[in-house]
Amino acid sequence: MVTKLYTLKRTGVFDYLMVRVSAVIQAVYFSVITYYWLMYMPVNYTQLIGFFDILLVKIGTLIVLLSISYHSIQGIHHIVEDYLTEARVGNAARFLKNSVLAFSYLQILGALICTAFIIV
Amino acid sequence: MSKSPLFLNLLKIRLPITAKASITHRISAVGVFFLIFPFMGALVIATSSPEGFLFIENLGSLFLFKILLNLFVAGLTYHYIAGIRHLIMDFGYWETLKAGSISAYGVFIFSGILIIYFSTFIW
Repeated sequence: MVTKLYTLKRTGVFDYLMVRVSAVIQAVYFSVITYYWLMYMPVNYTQLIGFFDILLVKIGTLIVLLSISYHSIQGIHHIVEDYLTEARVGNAARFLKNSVLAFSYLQILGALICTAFIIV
Repeated sequence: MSKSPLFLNLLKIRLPITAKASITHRISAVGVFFLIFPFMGALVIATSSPEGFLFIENLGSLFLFKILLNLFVAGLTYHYIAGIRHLIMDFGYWETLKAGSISAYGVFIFSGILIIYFSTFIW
């Protein structure tokens, strides 16, 4: 079963693993951010700018935003397929599902554009 | 064909603590997801210029902003702690009913303490 992973296609096993991997990436990033914030307490503009000027933080922020995109799209798919089914909401299921998904993708796109603004 | 009785009043179903931990994980996920973009936008404005930083600083004194930020931080904290429990279970530990409910209580207590600690910085 796990040998399917080596093909790197979008299999269920691949998604299962990648959701965990992206979760760990985010956990590490937010631990570091929280530690930094608790230690140094950036309260003014120059300190905030200085923090996002560090190259490692820029790379980390980009990787974490990509992780968040993947992780949350997987999660939204899960939730939408659990609750917005025809058995629960009737005929509107397909429309509701697609609009929630479209809104989520827009949200992700916006967050990625924000990241570009922050790290450039 | 006999119809099975439906009793799906969510207010009357007594969920076990493991189920509560699970559904809170999911609710916090949705909450955090829909708050990411607004707060990313706020961060963009705050890092763009000193005036923008001042604007966000003034916005930060609003009650609505504070309550949303507190919800965001609380959701993120809970999701983080519960996610670690989930990962530990993926590796095959804490999978019995007893260990599951103990760790669920642990997640609620530990994340509660952390949330109260982080909230003191917001208010």
